[in-house]
Amino acid sequence: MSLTPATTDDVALVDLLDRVIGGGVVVAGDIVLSIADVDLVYLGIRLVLAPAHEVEQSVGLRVRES
Amino acid sequence: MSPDPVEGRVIHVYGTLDPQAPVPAWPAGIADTPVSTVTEEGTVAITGELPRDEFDPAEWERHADDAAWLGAVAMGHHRVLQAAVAVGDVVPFRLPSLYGDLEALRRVLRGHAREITEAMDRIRGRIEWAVKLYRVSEPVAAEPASTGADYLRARSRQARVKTEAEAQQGQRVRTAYDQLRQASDAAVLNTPQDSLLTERREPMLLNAAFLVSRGEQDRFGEQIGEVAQDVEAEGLLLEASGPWPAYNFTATVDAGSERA
Repeated sequence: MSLTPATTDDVALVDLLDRVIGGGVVVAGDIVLSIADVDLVYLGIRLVLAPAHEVEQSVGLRVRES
Repeated sequence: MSPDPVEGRVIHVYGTLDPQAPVPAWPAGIADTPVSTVTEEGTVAITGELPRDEFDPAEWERHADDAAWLGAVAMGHHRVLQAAVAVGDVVPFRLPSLYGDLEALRRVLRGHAREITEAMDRIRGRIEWAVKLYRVSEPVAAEPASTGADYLRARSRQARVKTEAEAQQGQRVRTAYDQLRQASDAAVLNTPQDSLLTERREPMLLNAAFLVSRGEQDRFGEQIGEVAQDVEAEGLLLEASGPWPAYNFTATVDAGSERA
């Protein structure tokens, strides 16, 4: 088994993003960035963490439309 | 009481502190900005001011496929929450939680005081651990074949053995999850990450998070070690990380109780 302390900078980026963007309290209100905007950012970054062409083949999605 | 952000800045909320816990010495926050707290009716928000032009919606959109930019922002957010969780309990807010001015932030803290307190009560005195299981080997032995019929029979036998081995591994994954769930206060099953994201060729079979009392961490660590040894014989590799702020047990205040 391997054990990674979450206190170091060694944590995997995907684990970090899954938590800081995928988890935590979401409070709507006077936020500058809408929840839908954040969802798009999250989807985009999850896709781009993998090589784009492989992602296209595996999930049939493009990383960015533009 | 903090003044309103200076012109051209927005307030980011990292999370909230347990009002009874000490305020830690803060590390630098996102984009090397200072971190402070804003207290509103008993809720202690961990806040920082970020340059508006670097963090407005257009910038987030522009950096949506920029792993380096988002990784640095996420690490800044996480670093602050880790400092908080080292001395007391913390309810993380989702990144980003940005407010244009202090009154907007105070209004949100007042409006969500009950949910924030409930989330804090749920995780008080507890910390998150993550456990993943990967399939590292499939016990399918190659058999020598002298004739075409032998070859086909061997292929069919191997397919059967492979199916049985996978079913057995699946059962072992469920048992491992149950063992750890029973040793913890709450558990969450997340979707296994795609192997494209994990940088591992082996498929991930389990991606779970566990909420563990601070005082039970050593015992839970031993339990993880035992499970790791048990599953190794079944061709499974265990990967653990932690302690994390309880990100997985505070996800959207309203849905949190359902997930936990």
